Amino acid sequence: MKFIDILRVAFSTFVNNKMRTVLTILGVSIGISMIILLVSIGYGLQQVTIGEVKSIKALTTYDVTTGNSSILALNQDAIDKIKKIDHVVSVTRLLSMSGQIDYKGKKTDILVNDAPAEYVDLTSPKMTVGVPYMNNAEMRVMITNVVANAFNIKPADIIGEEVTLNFYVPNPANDKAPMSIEQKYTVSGVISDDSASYLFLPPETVSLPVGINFNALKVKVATSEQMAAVKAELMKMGYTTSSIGETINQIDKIFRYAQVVLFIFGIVALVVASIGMFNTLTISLLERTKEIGIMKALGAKDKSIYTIFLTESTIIAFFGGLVGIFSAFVLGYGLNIFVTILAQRAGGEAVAIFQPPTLFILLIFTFSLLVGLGTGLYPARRAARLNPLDALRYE
Amino acid sequence: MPDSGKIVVRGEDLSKLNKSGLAEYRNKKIGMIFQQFNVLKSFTVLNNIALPQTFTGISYRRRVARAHKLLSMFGLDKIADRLPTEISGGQQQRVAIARALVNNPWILIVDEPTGSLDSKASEEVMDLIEKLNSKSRRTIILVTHNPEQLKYAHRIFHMKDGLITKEERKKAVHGLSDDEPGEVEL
Repeated sequence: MKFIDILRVAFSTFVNNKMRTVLTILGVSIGISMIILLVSIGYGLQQVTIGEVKSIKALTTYDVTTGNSSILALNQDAIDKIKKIDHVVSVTRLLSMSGQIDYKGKKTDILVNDAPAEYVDLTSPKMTVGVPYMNNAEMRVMITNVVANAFNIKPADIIGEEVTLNFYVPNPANDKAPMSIEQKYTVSGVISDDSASYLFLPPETVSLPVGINFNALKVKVATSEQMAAVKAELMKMGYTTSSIGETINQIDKIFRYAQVVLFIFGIVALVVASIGMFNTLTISLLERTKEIGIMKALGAKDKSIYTIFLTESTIIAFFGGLVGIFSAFVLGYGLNIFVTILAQRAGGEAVAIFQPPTLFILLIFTFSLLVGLGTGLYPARRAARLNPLDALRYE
Repeated sequence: MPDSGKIVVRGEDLSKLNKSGLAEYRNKKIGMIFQQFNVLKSFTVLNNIALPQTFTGISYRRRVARAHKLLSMFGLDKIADRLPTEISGGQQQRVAIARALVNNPWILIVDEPTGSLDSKASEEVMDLIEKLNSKSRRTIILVTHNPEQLKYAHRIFHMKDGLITKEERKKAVHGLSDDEPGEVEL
């Protein structure tokens, strides 16, 4: 029997049972769209939360401190030793000093962070306005929103203004008093931090005594695979390490677990839809017993009957898959638009919670076809094996 | 297939055929007409008549042409695109007869053809079947409970509970011809 004629038979079956065909397709499509929505939203949430974060350079950086130890020191010797560890790309340091900032006569307390541009860069500061300093010798500072507010001036207006800093450089030899330094700087940028009053200034603008201890180091590792080894070395030296990369990995793990759970829920929906389809096909088979008997009496081969039934179930699953994918996309992207509108009203940016992975969509579509084939096999086989005489007598 | 013994038709032993062979035999060499008409409710009259040729892969165009020929022969042109639910019982039976003849079989098995018809339609249908025998020389195997239909028979097999109780020969039976059946004439 020609395949196009098999399609004709299938088509006429669908046309003559419109309601049942539509409902079966609907059932499958709900299962398909459920699993797509669940997995895509799980994926989208993960991307929204840590997708951007993953591109930060800080991911392969360790923040090194001395913890509670009073013996360990983070001085130039330590820096040199750490630089020698395998896979360490760079080591930069931070020296925090307490001080005062004076702007046009107004003074306020401030924490002075002496750190090179590379260090600041690794903190990925979000700037309200302006830019970080680029070279380590220019007399420029980056203050925070808090500092600008303290001076009752808008961040944009303080860019390029001159400030005077007064701070104390600690002395490594404990018997000598800390050095007092007073210098003028220009504000190059304002950091979007509303929680504390601090600034960054370039190291070469301050002459520090030899052997001074730093507050923290940032150790950059070549690749994330080598991080564990470097961490081991640092800890052997007695230092305390932490990395945002480790936190991210843990969050990532949580997301993966959540995604698996969502996927399982989706599978459950799909299984229910498949059971529904199997039920429908079996009932349809019973109803068409006489019809099958007539066809066989007229000379239809068992194989043709088998193919007819299998084709029908696959076509239903095919359209169920298409409708499912389509409605998932409509609902999902609609959700994105809705959430984005809410976010923008609250002052945030566009957010895409629904992000369907392309490969997954193709996989699910293939799976829906397999469901069609799978659920159709048993009814098709039963139909093919029907005895024409008995089938004709069936009421 | 019978529990024992053989069925030999025109020299061919049917018990030697497998399922697929039997299906083909039913398709090409035997036409069947039933009491309940057994036309497919989801197919138009035209497609019902063309149905047997659908199973042997004959092209759509040829099938439809052949079906149209039979439609006019049986006066069913006007209802070609109707569904069986939209036509009378007599018309449905005529569709079934036309369908049975689509591959020009020698033999027609007719099972209580008038059981579901009124007297007028019954007369028309028996008239048709008689002509298929006398004019188109088809062999008719008629199964009936109606004694009035015995008058058409050349040979009568009386059966009770699946066993033959009596055999009668009423009229002379023509000899076998070797050639293929020609087109149907009414």
